Amino acid sequence: MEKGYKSIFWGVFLASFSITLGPTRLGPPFIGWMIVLSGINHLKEVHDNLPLREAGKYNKFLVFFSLLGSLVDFMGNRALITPLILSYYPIITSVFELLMVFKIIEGSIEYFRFIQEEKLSLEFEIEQRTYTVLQIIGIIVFLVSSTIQNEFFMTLTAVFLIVVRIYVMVSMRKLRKIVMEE
Amino acid sequence: MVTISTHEEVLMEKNYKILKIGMILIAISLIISIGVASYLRLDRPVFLKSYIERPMPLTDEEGRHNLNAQFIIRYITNADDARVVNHIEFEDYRDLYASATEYSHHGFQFFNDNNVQTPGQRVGRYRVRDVAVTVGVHNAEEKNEDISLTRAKVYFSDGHEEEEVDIGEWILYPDDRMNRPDHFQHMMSRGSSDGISIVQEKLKDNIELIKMESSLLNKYEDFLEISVGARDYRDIAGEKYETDGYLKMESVFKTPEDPELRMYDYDIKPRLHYRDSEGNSFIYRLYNLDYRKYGFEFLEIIKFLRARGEL
Repeated sequence: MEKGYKSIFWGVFLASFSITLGPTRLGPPFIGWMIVLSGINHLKEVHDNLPLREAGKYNKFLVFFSLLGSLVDFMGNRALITPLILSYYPIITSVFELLMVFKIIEGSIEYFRFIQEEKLSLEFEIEQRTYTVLQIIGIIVFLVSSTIQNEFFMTLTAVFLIVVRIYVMVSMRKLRKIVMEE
Repeated sequence: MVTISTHEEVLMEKNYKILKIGMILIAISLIISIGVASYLRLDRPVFLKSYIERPMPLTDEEGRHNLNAQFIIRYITNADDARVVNHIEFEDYRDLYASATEYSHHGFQFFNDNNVQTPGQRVGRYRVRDVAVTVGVHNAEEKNEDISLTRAKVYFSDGHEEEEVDIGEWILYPDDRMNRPDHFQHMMSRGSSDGISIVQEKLKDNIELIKMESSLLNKYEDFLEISVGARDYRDIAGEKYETDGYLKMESVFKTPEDPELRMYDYDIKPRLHYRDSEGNSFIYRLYNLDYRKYGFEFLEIIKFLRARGEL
């Protein structure tokens, strides 16, 4: 299981931080999300449950939409694309990301219940709630800032969303440590 | 069989409730955002008016039109509008030649974000663009009257044409800087960024003031004050000044309160008509009466566009 959490940790890391070299990005987000999928599969191998299967399903949507986003970025300047709806496409990936992480944590909670570690399951239910609230706030603030297109506000939102990703990474690290000790 | 305590069940249920409410909030915000964004979207560029007077370009000795009058025409467009203005025409005056560019030369463009290719100043969902317009007149020496330009046809780089653009009023007057009357000895002039400008002249002759005029002065009534001596410019007829006396003219340009008017450009050069001791009348031009907006705020632009009926 520790391998699973390790993959999720690095997948989220890659999806969040990438090196931009001129017009191309090294390690576009969808590669990060694919690594997360391998992590989910590792977890399922040890303890298959419904939340983890659902997490895998949401992950596939996430990979698909990030790939689409990367393609759009690669094809040219996003500012040139006039359909208004396209400028909101990061919302779709953020929502699938929310659902996926929610389910990964839920799957872990179910595992802790299975091995009768109620204290741990309780702890991660609280983590799940904190993450859910933070990610929802992040998405709504992103919507507001991309509507008014205030640069300062947009930067602030990006920083906030990165902090939420770091929160997920810290959670995965914690889970990995716990299963290593088990 | 796994036993789940009721406390945990309640917690999990609560998390699902938060997720559900969150998703509803996101959906509502998304609908509102798309609604707001499409409301704020402009169907076409909105040109800002300017009320400006410029000396009419004259040909030099070799007959070249190398003295051009330059104007800046400003417009607001969607931030993602990548087109640029590349030509302008004034159909009322065929004798006029004009060129337009949005790319700066000699610092003629005031805003330029270096990290983007599209010129102009980004303000929220919009971009404020400056077009440098150069206007020249054929056979200017034959013209002795003011030319007033109020409408233009603007061409964009994608072939789009904006017909009948209301540009405010641009007045080209015969350049009279070379034959300034010799009744004044310039003492001092001072201008400051808060719109106050002072000119003081020492008189070489006895003069009597007639009037101060400019066809654009009525556009400025609410925010421009000019005093000649201690009197308002509308009330100077018959005022006499003697040789070695001082004529002090002070002007205050207040930022217009109106959300529409404050966005426009103003630069007038009113004429002070006076008579010398022999009864001949002359004109003295007053400079530095201008106002131009530099920094823009998103809300301010929205208010302006609403006032113009574009939103």
